[in-house]
Amino acid sequence: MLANSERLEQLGLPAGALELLAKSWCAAHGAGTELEPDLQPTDGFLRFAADVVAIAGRFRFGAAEHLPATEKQKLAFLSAMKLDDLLLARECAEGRAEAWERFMLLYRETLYSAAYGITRSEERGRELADSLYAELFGLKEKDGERQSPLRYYHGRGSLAGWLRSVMAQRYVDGYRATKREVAIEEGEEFADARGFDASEERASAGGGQLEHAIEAEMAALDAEQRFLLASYFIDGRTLKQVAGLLGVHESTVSRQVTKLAEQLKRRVGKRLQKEGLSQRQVEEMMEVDVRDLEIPLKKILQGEPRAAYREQGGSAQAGEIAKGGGADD
Amino acid sequence: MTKLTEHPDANLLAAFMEHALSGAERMSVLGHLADCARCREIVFLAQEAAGKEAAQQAAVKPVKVRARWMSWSVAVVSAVLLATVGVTSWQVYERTHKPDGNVSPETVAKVMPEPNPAMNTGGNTANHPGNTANERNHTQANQVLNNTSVHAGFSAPAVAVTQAPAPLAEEKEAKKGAEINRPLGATSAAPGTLREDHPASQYEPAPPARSLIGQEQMARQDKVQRAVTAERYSQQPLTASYKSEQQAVTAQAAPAEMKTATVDVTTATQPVLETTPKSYNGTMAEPLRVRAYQSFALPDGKPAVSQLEQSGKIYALDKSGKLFVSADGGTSWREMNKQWKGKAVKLTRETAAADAVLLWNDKGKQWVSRDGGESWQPYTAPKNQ
Repeated sequence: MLANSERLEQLGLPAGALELLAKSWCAAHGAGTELEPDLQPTDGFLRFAADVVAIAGRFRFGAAEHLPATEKQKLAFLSAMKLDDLLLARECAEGRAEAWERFMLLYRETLYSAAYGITRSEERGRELADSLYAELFGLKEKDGERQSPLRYYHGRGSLAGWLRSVMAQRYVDGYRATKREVAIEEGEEFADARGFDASEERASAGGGQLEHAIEAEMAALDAEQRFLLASYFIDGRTLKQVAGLLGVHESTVSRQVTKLAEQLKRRVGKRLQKEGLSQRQVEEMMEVDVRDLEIPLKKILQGEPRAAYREQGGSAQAGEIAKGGGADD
Repeated sequence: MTKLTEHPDANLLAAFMEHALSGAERMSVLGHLADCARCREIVFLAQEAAGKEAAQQAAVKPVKVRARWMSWSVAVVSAVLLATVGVTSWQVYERTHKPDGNVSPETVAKVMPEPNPAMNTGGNTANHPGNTANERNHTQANQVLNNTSVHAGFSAPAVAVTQAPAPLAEEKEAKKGAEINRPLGATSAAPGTLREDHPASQYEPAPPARSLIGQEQMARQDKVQRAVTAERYSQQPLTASYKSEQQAVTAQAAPAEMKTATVDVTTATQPVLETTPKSYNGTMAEPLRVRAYQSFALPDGKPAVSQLEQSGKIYALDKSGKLFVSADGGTSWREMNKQWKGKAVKLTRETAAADAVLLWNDKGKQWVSRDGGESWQPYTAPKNQ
């Protein structure tokens, strides 16, 4: 049977990684941060190290596909991981009392304030937070082992961020399950139920040319641009919210949105002209305001352009719209 | 870019929000988010929650700044109070420890404003009127630490029994934490009278009031003070016979060139001093005298940081590490040639030989002189020490 130190060596940690792990371990357990090479690593430390290596391996240490990660890349990847949070999460998943004490000290506030912020209701927020806490604590057991979602936290992002994401997921999925519809604007439903207005008529009269042109031009945009358009035009998010998520300044997002909308309109116009329409016809078609382009745009961005065009061209029914708006669910 | 085939889990979403993903991973997640309203809703909700929490924490910060400011202001106020207490204590000390009953502290201060080689003060720089209370205490601490001479412990000039300090003044000093300002090992009365006037338990200095600053210094001085006290009284049991001894303590007015106050004590009951000046201007007669040190005025104008009396000579080191030797009780000084390496910082006795003096440099190396400081040789302590 191999000694722990030999098993640790077999993990193939890059140079310097052991110190990183030891620092987190020693900080969590109150020991000094100096790694004493003469000491045998404990079983707990070995488990932690193995866990970290497994997680990092799953992401190929951040290396590109089909390329092995260099030692430097491995160390950089491990350095970027939130090892302290990961260790805490693992020890909580194992049911260690002192780990839970620390977790409550550090994250109780986060849990409840996130719940209130997401649900915008104290009562529902408390309910959400309490249920998540119970789930995290691992009240469920399987084969005698605690089942805690904390077991699945992998330390790429912070534990606080992970808790917020989990809570938001629970809320959104719960909301959708109870409401049996996706979040779409009431105006759109109503408009589709009402029938066409002139702009939609013109759009459909183009024989789908406009839609096809838009679809083609949208496909040419990269993921970030499509995300930008979807967030701003469909979800109605503010520039600040979108900027925060993309990690750019608000003014940058504003410029990009304006630029994208104009670019899209110009390219669609050119494409239509190439397809044989005259300038005047294109202008008439494009009198569909950019905002009106939202209608097919929304459907396109929600992943079902064909269905969207069919609905627009025929009689719209609220129920079908609800189903069609379910996106990838 | 690898397209995600399923919804990204909370780990990926959290890492995405915190910009912790690689470029390719980020584009994959963005590609999914562009097409998936559900996941977009999740990330925006989580992001909003994070923003609210950050805003709440930011709202708390000004209190911490205030607290930090408050701690600074408390420290400043404490420093001012300490300085005030120090000055007050010095004034009280001056009033209660007149070297000459007819000489007021003000006159003494006027007479001794500057270091004067002609003024043989006995060597304790700590009580130089020109020094601040803290400087005196610091110097005293160094002296005690550096000098095993018992003389260092007797840092306060003696006073007549009749001039024992008013209990109220002492009590006030103790309450104000003035122990820090009390010269080390010093009491308001001569050693011979102390044990009668002040029971041993009282002699143990009361813990001074602790201020926010200088606690370490106070602890160090307390430790030194206790050590000196224990040393002084280890040979002096409190007995009835001791009480009956003559306890006339006179503060002798030193000649103009000598500012040394001495205490007459009987030989039989006083602790045996390590050194006894064998001759001292002819003014010191038997019995033994305990020299109360005041500041040495070295020729270069700098106060002595370490001093030693041995075989009738006084050895003194100044701040710059120069060694001076006086054969006439400090009246005149001779600077000795440097025969050691480094900076000399301490003088001690060589325990094996009565007339040998050890000089320590700043690296801990020692040199010994057995000829009154004329020549110095490297010294290695014997193994049995």
